[in-house]
Amino acid sequence: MGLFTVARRELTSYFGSPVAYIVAAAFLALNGFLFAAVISNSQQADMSFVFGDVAIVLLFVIPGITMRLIAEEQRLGTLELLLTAPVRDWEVILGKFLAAFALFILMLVPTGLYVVFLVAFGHPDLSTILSGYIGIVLLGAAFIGFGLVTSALTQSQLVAFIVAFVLGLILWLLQGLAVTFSGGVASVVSFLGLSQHVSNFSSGLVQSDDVVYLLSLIVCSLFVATRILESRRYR
Amino acid sequence: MRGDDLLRRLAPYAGILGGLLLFAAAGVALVVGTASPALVWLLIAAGLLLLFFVVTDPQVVVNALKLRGVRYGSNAGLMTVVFIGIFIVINFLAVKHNVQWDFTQSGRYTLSSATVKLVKGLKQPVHIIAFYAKGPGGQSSGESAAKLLLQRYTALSHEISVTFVDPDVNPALARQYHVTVSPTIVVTSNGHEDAVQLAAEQDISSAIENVIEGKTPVVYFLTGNGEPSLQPASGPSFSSLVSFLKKNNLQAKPLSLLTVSAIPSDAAAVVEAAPTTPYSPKEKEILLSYLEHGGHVLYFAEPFGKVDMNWLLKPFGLSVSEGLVADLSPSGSLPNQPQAIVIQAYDRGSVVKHQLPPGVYLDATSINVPAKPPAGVTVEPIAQTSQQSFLVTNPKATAINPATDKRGPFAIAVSAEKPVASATAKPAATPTPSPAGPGSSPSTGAVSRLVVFGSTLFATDQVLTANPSIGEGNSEAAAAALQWLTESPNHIVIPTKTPADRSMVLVGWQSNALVFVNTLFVPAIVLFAGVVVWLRRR
Repeated sequence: MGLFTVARRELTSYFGSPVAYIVAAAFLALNGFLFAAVISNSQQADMSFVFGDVAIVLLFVIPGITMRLIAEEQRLGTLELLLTAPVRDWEVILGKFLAAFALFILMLVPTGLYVVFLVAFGHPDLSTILSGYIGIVLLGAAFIGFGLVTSALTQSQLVAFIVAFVLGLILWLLQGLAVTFSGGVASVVSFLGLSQHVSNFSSGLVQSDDVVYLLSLIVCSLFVATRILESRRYR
Repeated sequence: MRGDDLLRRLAPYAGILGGLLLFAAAGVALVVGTASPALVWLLIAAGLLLLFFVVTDPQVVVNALKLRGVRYGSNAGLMTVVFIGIFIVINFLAVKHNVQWDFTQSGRYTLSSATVKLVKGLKQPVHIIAFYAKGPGGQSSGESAAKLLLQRYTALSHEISVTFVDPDVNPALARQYHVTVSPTIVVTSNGHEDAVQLAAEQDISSAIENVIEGKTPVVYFLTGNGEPSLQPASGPSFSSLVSFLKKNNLQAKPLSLLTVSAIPSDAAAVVEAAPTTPYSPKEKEILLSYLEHGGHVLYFAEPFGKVDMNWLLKPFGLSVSEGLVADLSPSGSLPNQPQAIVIQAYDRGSVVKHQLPPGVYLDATSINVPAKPPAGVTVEPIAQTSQQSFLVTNPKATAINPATDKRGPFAIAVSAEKPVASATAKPAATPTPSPAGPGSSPSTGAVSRLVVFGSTLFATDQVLTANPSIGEGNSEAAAAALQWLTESPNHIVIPTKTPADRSMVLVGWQSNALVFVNTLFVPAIVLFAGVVVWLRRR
């Protein structure tokens, strides 16, 4: 129950301040502009390129959502109160994750207008669009995981934002970096890169290894964030 | 004593340096990827320094380990390492046993039912060796896509195994399979092998079928009477069609009836296309004899043909009209080119078993189909023009005259089939340079088959290479006809996965709405909600 209490508290905090609305508006404005630009140029009822753009936008926006999750509590000293409350460390982390994830999904919902637009004026492949959304949701969740880790590491929201962004960017670009390696290392580095996994979803191909990799990133991030939070008890 | 003190004072620095060297070793291992001498020396140096640190001042290490933070921290670190290790293993297994789900409506990532049937029916091991040379960065163009495609094959049958080989790393294996270019995908089974350069389903499946059957059907293109060349030429030529047929596991060979006394026994089908010089009686006899004894012939006619070939069609009750078909319906021909007939949908039947891409028949004539075919003959139209088509019978006419020109629809491609009469009195074999005597029984046996197209130009390089999208549809139609003619129970036909047309043309207000609603309106609503919340809280 502590899990949902934390999540509810966090969500209330999000919607109680204008920051979440500003972030969501920026996210939608950027994506709306990119969607309009892509569709106007291609004249195709196809969202595969749009999903690539959404992924890039998420690199910036998700750290904006997650930066305050724990860093702010550390700065204000409310984290100590939270840790002494009858709630476990993993419940704190998972609760905050669920709140950020819910906000992310709520931000994503208005992009359904893009699909409505394509259906109204063209003949899009709806199942491919669904697959693209699955990829974006998993990617967003992974970015939220990174954000939680970096937010747990520092009291500074700015530092948490920058580190989460850099971490996401490195993983996003890793595919391109693989060419500098050879042999098995190149394969591993290439596999760790996020862009290829997400582009498979965008083009309508869902693979178990892509899903497992993104889920692994999410679970490992939450695990590491929990361990970092736990370390406060014996520091 | 002073010496001991000095050593103790140096120990922490040695420990730090050892840690740094260990870190550097990890970096070298990551970059180089192999156990290089530099890596070994770094590890030795790091080990010695760390050992020096521990031996010189063991109490520091013991005390550090006793610290509460270190105890819990190491526990947490160990747990994290184990946890991440488990996920590395899970991911490794997920890559090894990858499962794909195709979400595209066109089935872009799904193997065709023909391939599924072929692969699931395999009763002997098939090994696929994909030769992909790595570039400077260890990457190979197209290798990922090839892996995804071949994974779909291996998921269907345990009889299929796949190996990816870098021909630069393993040149001996590349030489063994005569690989000279990268990529090359070699399919081997039971001593037979076939190589393709493209990791496409059609190519791979055809290669699998080839090695399973151990032979490729031969289609003879008749020459010697002014027919189009099989090589690229300035005049009409069939080189593109020949390449397409090769991909479809059909081998094209030229054959002059002047040099043989019978159609070779390995002929799966014979193609005759718009001859310009008349047949000699001997040539007529060879071709008619072949057809009557269960031969399979594809004939490309042309409007106002120089040579009357109706003698070939007569046993099936067919004949070619004297005239040019022109279609006035917007969807039945290319814009402003009524003589460029567009077939949007073929008549499904024996020849066209699945939907083919649209075809464009330039300069076509009509084929007369009898209301009542001769006894035993089955005739099926393959392609027909619209009701707004006309047959222009005056070769000098520059426009359609609806008052005098015959009105359509017209059949411009027809298939016909009849059983071989009375079994089959096969004429006596005569020694010839070819593998069989005159009238030797064609490979497919009991029925004679004929396909007639009212256009020759539609299958020539001049049309196929001029417009790839038209070329694909036309090649598919010709290949479908030849596949029916050379049909064997296992011969694979893979439909082309044509992506659906997703184009959308936005008029002025729609473009404006696209930009305004998505870029301004929706974000503004969200922002407004934020302002309301902020004001309320104030």
